[in-house]
Amino acid sequence: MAEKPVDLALLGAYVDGELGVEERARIADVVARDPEVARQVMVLSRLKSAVSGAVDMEAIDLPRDPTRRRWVYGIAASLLVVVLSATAIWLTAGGGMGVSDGSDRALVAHRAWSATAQDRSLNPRVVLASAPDELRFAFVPDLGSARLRLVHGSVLHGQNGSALLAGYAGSRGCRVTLMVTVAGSEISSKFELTEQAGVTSARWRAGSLAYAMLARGMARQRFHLLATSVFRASLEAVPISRETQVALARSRANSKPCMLS
Amino acid sequence: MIQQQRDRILPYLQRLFGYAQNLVRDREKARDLVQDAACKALAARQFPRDEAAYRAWLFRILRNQFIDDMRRQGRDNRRLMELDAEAHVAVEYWQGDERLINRLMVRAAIGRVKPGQAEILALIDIAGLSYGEAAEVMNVPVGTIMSRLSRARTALLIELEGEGGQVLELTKRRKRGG
Repeated sequence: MAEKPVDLALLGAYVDGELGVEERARIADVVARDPEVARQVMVLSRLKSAVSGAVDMEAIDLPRDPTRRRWVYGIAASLLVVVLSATAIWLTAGGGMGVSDGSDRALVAHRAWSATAQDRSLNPRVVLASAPDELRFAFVPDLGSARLRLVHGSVLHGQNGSALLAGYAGSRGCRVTLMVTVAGSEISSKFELTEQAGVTSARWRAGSLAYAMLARGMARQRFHLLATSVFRASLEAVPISRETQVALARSRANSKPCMLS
Repeated sequence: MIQQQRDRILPYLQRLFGYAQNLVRDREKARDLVQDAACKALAARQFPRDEAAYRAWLFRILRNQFIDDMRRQGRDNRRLMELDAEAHVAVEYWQGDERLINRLMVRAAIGRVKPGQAEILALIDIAGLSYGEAAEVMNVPVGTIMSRLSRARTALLIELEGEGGQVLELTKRRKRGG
């Protein structure tokens, strides 16, 4: 009776320890009798060993607070209407960056949109198209170089004015909010950066508009560079420069993942 | 519970990274891909209790994330299609000098084989998955894994031979079915 042939796939399975007892014994017998098959097994073994060591491993960081369960998002989503209503009430009551600390209010909006953020990419022009006239010239940057996609755009209306909300999402749990309102006289053009309870925020004035930008759990240096880049670009209403884009990409590459909010 | 999930995924991060590197062929993108997949795994409501099934589940999440990213970017469709395509390698039998297989040459050669071939090599030889686990990740039968792996290794050996012609000599003794 002719012996069953030993092909490369079978030898590979032999080397990988994937054969059953009987088949393994049969191949072992062939290897013992046939120097050519034995050599092929040796080559495969060495190849397997070389492939297994072909990748330089590196430490991978996990997001620091990564496991917000979906039920949390579910609750957050169900609270969205309440939050948005509260935001509208705040605006109606005279809130907004023109009256008090816009960063606090931006945080409310940040929590609301990031709880229900969709996996999509919006064009800044589309977001601006929905803005009221007084915010039509707001600066909504493309932050693609920082690996942040514009995924949310909305307008919050209130008695004392409207707020344009732009939400950016990164691939490692990062969420950044940019809120633009008409600036009150008390808003200075000075760039202000604050950090509290894991929330980093920046606010500034560019022309007649006030900007508040914030993120939760983002590395401070990364946020600082991001916010100052948007700040400078907003002053001149020009896209972020090529050099800055490279710096943003590097900063992102060197930073740890964000804390999911 | 959260810490338990983190502890459970940590031992697999390096192997996921090895697999990701062969999918995206870029260290930074591979790191992103692993972190994306880890985020999804950690946020999942349900996950396999059995360790082997959990391992396959993790790798499948990473693979799906990669495919989603490629589709979202709308580019490199050829590469996406090749992930699932049967790679055809005419040479079935080979001869070679195993002494000259080394890490650097192998690394370079893996970068030249087709994406689908690099993927199966990464799953089995780098990530250390069994054929059954790899079949689960790629959603194909175990027999398909065995044949694809064989063709991938042959392709890799051919590439290694191309490294100056001294690494491996390949001889077309006969073709499949011939």
